[in-house]
Amino acid sequence: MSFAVNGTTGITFNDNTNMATAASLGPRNRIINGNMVVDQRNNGGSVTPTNGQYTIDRWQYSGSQTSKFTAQQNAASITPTSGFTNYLGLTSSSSYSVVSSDYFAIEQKIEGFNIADLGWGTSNAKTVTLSFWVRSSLTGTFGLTLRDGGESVCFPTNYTISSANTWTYIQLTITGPSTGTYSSTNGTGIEVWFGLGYGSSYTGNLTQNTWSSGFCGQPSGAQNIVSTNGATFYITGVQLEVGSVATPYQFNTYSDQLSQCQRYYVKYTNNSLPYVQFAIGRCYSTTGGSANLYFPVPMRTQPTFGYTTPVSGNFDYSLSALNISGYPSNGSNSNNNISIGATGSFTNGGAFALAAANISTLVYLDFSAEL
Amino acid sequence: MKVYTNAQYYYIPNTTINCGIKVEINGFESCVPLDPSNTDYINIMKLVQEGQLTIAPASQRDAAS
Repeated sequence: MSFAVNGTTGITFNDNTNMATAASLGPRNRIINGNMVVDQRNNGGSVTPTNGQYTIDRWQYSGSQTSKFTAQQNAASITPTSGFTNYLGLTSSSSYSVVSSDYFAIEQKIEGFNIADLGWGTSNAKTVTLSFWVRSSLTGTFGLTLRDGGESVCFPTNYTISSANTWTYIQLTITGPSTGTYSSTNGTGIEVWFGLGYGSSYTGNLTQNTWSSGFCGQPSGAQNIVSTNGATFYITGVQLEVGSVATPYQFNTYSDQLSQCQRYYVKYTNNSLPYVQFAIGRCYSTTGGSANLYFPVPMRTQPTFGYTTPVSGNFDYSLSALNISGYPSNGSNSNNNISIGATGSFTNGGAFALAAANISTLVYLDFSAEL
Repeated sequence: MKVYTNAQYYYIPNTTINCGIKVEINGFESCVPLDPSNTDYINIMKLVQEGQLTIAPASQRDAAS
């Protein structure tokens, strides 16, 4: 294998890929699940996301109106671009005419720990490059915005899809900002918004490719995918890295990528099978008990606990209520396990299993520490 | 922002110490920890501050007798 070195692009390999900086030699991608492989919530199923709802892992839908899109891993089962097996597909559900305050986007919030080295918000802010593969049934200009975690400044930019229903590779270089608020710990560092449609309040209201106060989703004349019934927006291979050159997508092992996602969200289900056990607990009375459950990896923060409503025989031991009853500390990390309180029919001093009942429907417990 | 409804504090079992907030998030039953880094807790407190959401006190039946 041969390669060339020059002062502009760094190292160029004979497959025409580049590595511009020494940072390219280590873990590069600040986006998690950029190749859209992990889908704990829906397991490949289609959802009609509401505002703030997560689709596949780490990718959140933001929409000012309900029921305007469906979202699905590998929607419509088209062939992903070469080298990838998965994509996130969004499909417009109507020909909605946006009003001035409307916004529709798919976004990822990046944790501060993962961007702290960029120096954003200082005079030493580093340039980054965002690259991705995108495919749409529409052609034209599409909006994309980077935003600080404090949501005070943004960098509106755009890209062009010239051929409908064709995977297109996009590379965008973003100058590091000296303004804005970026967590360097477990808060939100950077937000990356892929626009699906905006009203006039967020269209063409700020200068493109410049950091400014406020929020702008797209330039004037950009496509509003939400306004065409059945219009599609498919995306994969999203990578945000230091430097002004996009390097090949950094693949992780599936287990590593799943673990990265589980810092923010983990779901336990019975897979619609009876008597699947989630945890074993103790009964401190004839009606109350608690069970400890350890997470696969420590979570970003104490998580929100969601669950199938414990009625109609969903859970064993006639459970009638569930809640978080505590966060036991384990050394320096208290976010690696949780105590789940249960109200049901117990034997005082005995043990019980937090388990699905004798049913063949889906029962789940989930934990969200998303940004 | 997600939709938060029917919020109510609840106690650590057999105490009268608030442990978390039971709330429906986009219609799904959930428990939110009283953790200032938790995004749902941040959102709930913002709504409370803006007067758009009220968190009911914990039910006395959950308290220590």
